[in-house]
Amino acid sequence: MTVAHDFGALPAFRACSAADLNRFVSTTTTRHFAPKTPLIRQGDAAQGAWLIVSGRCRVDVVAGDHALTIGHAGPGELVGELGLFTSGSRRSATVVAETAVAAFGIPMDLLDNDTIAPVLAIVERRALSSLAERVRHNTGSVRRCDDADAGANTSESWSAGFVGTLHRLFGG
Amino acid sequence: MTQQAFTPPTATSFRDRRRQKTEDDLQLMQLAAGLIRSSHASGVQPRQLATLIAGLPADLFEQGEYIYVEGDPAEHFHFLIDGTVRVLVGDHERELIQLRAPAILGHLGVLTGLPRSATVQACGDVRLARMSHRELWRVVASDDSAAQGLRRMLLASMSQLISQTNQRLVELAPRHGRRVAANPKKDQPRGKQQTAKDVVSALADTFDPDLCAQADNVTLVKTAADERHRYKG
Repeated sequence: MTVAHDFGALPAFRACSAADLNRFVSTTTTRHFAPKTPLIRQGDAAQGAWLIVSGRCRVDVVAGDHALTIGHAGPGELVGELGLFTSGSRRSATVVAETAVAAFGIPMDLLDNDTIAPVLAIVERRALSSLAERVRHNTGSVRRCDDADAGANTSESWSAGFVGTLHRLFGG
Repeated sequence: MTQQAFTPPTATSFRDRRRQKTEDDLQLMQLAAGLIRSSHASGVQPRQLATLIAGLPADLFEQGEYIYVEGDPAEHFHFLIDGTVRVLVGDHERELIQLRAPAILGHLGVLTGLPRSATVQACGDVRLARMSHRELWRVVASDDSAAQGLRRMLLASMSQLISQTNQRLVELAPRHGRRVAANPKKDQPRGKQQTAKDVVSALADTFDPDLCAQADNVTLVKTAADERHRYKG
């Protein structure tokens, strides 16, 4: 069973033509990661993203000798999206393979490659949904931590913590 | 708040209308380029966003009018085309920031389904292009070039937001995370034999400096006891 076959069998990509899938597979880089191997390291320059084809990863934020698991990613999901859709950023989390993982590496310059646009469009739509879910999850995590730190005085900490972060960027 | 078509029909003759259209197109392209620049989005062309924004209805707000109210459901988002808005939180409407055009407002709530997390108020006259929740998802599902531009713009914004919240979680990790080995074998090639120096370096803070200095002369030996321990473990 090849990685390309696994990719074509993912429900999100079943509607793609064989030609589109083959072009995407041949344009990207296929990598295999053993369990416990990092795909992405927090603090590294963010260049490109990984599209997971098989296996499962854990997403951690690390501070010194402490780590906080903030999510997991599996087949069909994109990790390291910051390095694909923005320029000049640094990785904000570490992604580690929990099982054997096969993934396609997508460098930023592939966004301009029109020959793989149909598959990229599906990747982008799925990423939009999964990032929204990650925002919800992160929001909940920050809020729980802030609430635990602040004890009874939760509303003030919430404003100062998550909402402050949120609105430095977006405001609404 | 008043609503109008995005391009006001001010010109009368064909030549005037053409000139007006050229000026509007130029303004839209500058707006789109500013949006892309401010979000550091990659893989997006200004014309993609300009095409999209040109087809959206415009909302006009005057000084002091509320654009969003904290806690309300997020039914649409806006591109801020002209003017400045204030972002307020809490019952006392504490001001967090002022945002100037070009900017994108309120998309987070539309994408996540979460209620508005802040109140947004117009500072002076403000012009925005509005996109509804339904329209957003229709465009996102489309394959055309403008849809691609919007998707990537939103993905860039969301990625940056996740990066920002991750940084906040990094601050919280020492109090709420689990303890792990510091910098576990970061630059050590897989399969390399571990020496006593490697072990001591990893734990340098807790070891006596003299012991660290002697580490080069020590070799780790796997003993029968180690094997028995592993079986029992």
